[in-house]
Amino acid sequence: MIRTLINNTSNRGMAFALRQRVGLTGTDSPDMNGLEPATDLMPRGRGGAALGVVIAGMCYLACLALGGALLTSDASRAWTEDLDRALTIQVVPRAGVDVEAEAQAVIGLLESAPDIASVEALPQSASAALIEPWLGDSDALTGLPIPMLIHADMVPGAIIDLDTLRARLKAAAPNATLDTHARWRDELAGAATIIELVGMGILALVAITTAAIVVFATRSALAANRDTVEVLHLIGARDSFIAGEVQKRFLTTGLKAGFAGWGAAAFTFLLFGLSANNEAGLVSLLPQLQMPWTHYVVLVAVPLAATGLTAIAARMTVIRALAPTL
Amino acid sequence: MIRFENVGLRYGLGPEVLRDISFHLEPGGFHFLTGPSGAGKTSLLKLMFLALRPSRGLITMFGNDLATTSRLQLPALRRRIGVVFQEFRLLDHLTTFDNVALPLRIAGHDMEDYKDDVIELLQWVGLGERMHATPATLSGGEKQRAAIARAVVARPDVLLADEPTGNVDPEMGMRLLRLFEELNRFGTTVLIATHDLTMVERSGAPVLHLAKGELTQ
Repeated sequence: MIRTLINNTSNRGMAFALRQRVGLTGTDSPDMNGLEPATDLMPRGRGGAALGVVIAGMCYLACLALGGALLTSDASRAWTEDLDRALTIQVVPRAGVDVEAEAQAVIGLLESAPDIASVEALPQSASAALIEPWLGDSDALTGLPIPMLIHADMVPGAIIDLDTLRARLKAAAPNATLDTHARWRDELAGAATIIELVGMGILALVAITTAAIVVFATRSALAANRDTVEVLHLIGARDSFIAGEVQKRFLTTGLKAGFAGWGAAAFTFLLFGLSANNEAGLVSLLPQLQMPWTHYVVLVAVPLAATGLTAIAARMTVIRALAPTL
Repeated sequence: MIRFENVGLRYGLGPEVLRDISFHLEPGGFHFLTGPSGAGKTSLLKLMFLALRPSRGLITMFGNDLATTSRLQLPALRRRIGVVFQEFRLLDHLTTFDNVALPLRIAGHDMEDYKDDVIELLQWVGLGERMHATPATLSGGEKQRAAIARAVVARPDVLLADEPTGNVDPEMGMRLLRLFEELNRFGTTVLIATHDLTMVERSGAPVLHLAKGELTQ
């Protein structure tokens, strides 16, 4: 502006004369070193660190919940795929029945079926071992009529007409019964679905809690910087400009804290994975705790979503807070 | 440029602090607003820099009737008004340069576009050497000049100053008055609220006098 004024009137010499006329004769050699516009028009308060800790904690919990849901989904898929392919035929010993002969007939029938990949008859000792936890020492089971178990795996993707198979088994071995594990599979899938839903519920709860905390933090920041907001407002800043300044500050905090929470969760899953490797005997039922790298990438969505949520919540809070003002 | 017709103002359900205010500021005019403490000078200025809506009456700013002007249009009007607040209201966490450049930054200008103008303005008000200083390290007079520089940097059509000499010694007060007069010479309409009658008499500019919420002159 003054350049225009000065150019309109004369030149820099005139500007100096003008300053002398009004008695303001300060330096004419300004220090221009390091002249950069201020990054933040809103002052950074002390609450930023506390908010960062809260967001990091929330992201950590959200990553654990999402990671847990992903692992459960993986495990459920692996279990149901195994169970979908598995068939168990039980030949029940009854008086006058040649169990061995019926078992051989079943094995022969299954081996000739094109959709069956493998057939294996469990030895009696293995069958006894299965019921040992309920009936005690296997020596005591020697005299008991233990059913003969035959395990078969279907070719992956094969669809077998179970009613036909059942009828053919009945014809070849009248004392054989077919178990498809459908009940177990359904129960496992149901349990896994519940765990996944709980994970998603935790995720939603964490998101709502984070948004609420950010709203409170934004209101607190607005209250603490009321004078700054008012000055910006009175010299012509639009609501969107002020909201953008506040949003920028929360965006930075959300991004840093979100990735800190993600890092902590990734470290936790790595530890779980190492634990599953090193103590296979203790956690042999949970091999899926070794999270594939793709899941770590999926979990990056959590800090990104948290950052977006933080920024949007802050922006909306500022816009709503400024709306009643003139 | 600015027209008030029978304007009244009350805060909440309280009594009217301004009553039947009517005046017209012509483009390029230079006026003083005087009156004892509590007369309503700051309230009147707040109406003029669009910090408050009147309780009644008509205010026209740059041809816009404020009663029918939407909230979204107000920032554009505010950018045509430069304000020197009574307590300066510089942002403590920003340097003098950033404080002065604030209106240009808010208007969406890049620093490369306004840097030279701001530096020249700072030199013009004698703060060239203090551009990196924050308000906490500025003297009262320096703050005053920084506040004035901020108010005029975007070439406002109107400059409103609330007790601009209230915190400086008489000599600095007269220097600042000369600064306002120079700005007015370049076309800016100026209204200065003050109770410094010596400055008013020396200037000889027209006076709007407020007493108990009413204009008496």
